[in-house]
Amino acid sequence: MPKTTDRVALDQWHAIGTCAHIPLGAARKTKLLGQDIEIVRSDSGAFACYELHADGSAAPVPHLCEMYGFLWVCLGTPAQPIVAIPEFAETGRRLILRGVIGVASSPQRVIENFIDLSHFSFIHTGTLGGYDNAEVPKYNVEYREDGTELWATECRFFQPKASAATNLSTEVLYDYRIPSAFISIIYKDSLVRRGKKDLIGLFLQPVEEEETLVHSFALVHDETNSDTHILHFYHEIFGQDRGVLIHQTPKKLPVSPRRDIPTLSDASSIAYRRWLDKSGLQFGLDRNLS
Amino acid sequence: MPTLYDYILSDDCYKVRLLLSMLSVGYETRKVDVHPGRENCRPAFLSLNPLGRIPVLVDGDLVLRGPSSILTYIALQYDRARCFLPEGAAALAQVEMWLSFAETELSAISDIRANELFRLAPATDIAVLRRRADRAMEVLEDHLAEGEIVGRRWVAADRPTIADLALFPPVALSAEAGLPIEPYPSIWRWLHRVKNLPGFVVMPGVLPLLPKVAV
Repeated sequence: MPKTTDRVALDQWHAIGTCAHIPLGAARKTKLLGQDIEIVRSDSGAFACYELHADGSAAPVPHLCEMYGFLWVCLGTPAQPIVAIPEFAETGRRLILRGVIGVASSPQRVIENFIDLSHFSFIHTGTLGGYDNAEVPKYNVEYREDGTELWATECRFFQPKASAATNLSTEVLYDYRIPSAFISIIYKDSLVRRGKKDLIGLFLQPVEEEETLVHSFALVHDETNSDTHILHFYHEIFGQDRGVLIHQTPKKLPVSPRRDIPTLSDASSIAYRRWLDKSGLQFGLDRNLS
Repeated sequence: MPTLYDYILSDDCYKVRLLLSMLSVGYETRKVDVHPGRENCRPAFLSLNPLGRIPVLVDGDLVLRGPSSILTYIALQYDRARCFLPEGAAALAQVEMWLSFAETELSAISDIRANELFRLAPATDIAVLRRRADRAMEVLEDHLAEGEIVGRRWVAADRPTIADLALFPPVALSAEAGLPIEPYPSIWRWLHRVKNLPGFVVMPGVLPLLPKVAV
């Protein structure tokens, strides 16, 4: 597809790479919202980014920014600043940049899976859930920041191994934050630093409507494991999610209420779908009514 | 105790994990940051395997690279009964034939899958790889279908061998490479037989058999 004409998608900031993973002096081609782009890093480390056109010409992207270790661009006019995550400036946590992973599906499918609690026991058996504790206790769904953010709070789930840092089988408290259609962050009780939160976040790069690059991070309390150990804990979990995501149809996320038959545990998914519907976003959504 | 240089999303490493688990062999894992860190391309790893690929198995002074040689070594060294490696020239040669098939022909599936996952620039054209992968799946399907007719349930012998374990990962993960499994009913049934072997373990992208639930 050519570059989307969807203003709602164009006017958002999107992560398109991990700064540290692009070597000095390197150029990388990628795609965002159907638009071919090239990331160029100078020998001194500065980034530039260009939209590549079919006639061979190139034009700088209108907005470019480095934040949280990621490179962000906006192809339109930013409707909001890049999501504020104050925990990146705090001390005490380890930052694990998890590298890019491709998923042949819409970004909304990836977010919906990320915020879903009911798959833990069956897809992440032995880490985030188990067959004996599959029930999803009731949780809250609310809109914050004048409705620009969706939150699912007081999510509780019994987890055999909630993070790389623990082997304690216990109930863990979660909050899910969805500050934009293509971003979600988990705030999860640390089991090694009581009272503190671990953060796990997805910054999705919508490549095409049914093609997503997943950039992600873990900002966690862990004083014992190597970076690679923590990295592989999360790669295992996301690899399990990916195995499910590639089979979900339609790949675009349906948003009409007539398209879903939810149960109580789907409250966050249903809120996400209705919230996407109201946002006016077209990209990656299946807007057929039935 | 052997040490496996491992990455959880590697189908080649999964071949070795399958055999180690089925034989209940204890081992240590050394996790290699293949993606995104490219630790396998750095000097410390290259001194173990100059080809820069996982898995590597280190056992005392022995350093082995490549899944086929590692599977062969484990099957001989850690299993006196040789459950997964038959005796006799013809039987052994057939295991070798399918080990080689797994490493060469099915590498097309692994290469497409790696490209889908990590967005590396593929060395070969994806369409070329896809034709090679389709052809390899057809060859395996025909072989297993013939086996079903004569009552042979495994690829290289009348019992499971390391050849089955070398073939299983790329075939079971073919959906991750965008290849449909539906045209291959005999492969589908064989995948199910492998999943029923004692000590079978999964990796991301491979679903376990559903547990028996009392209703």
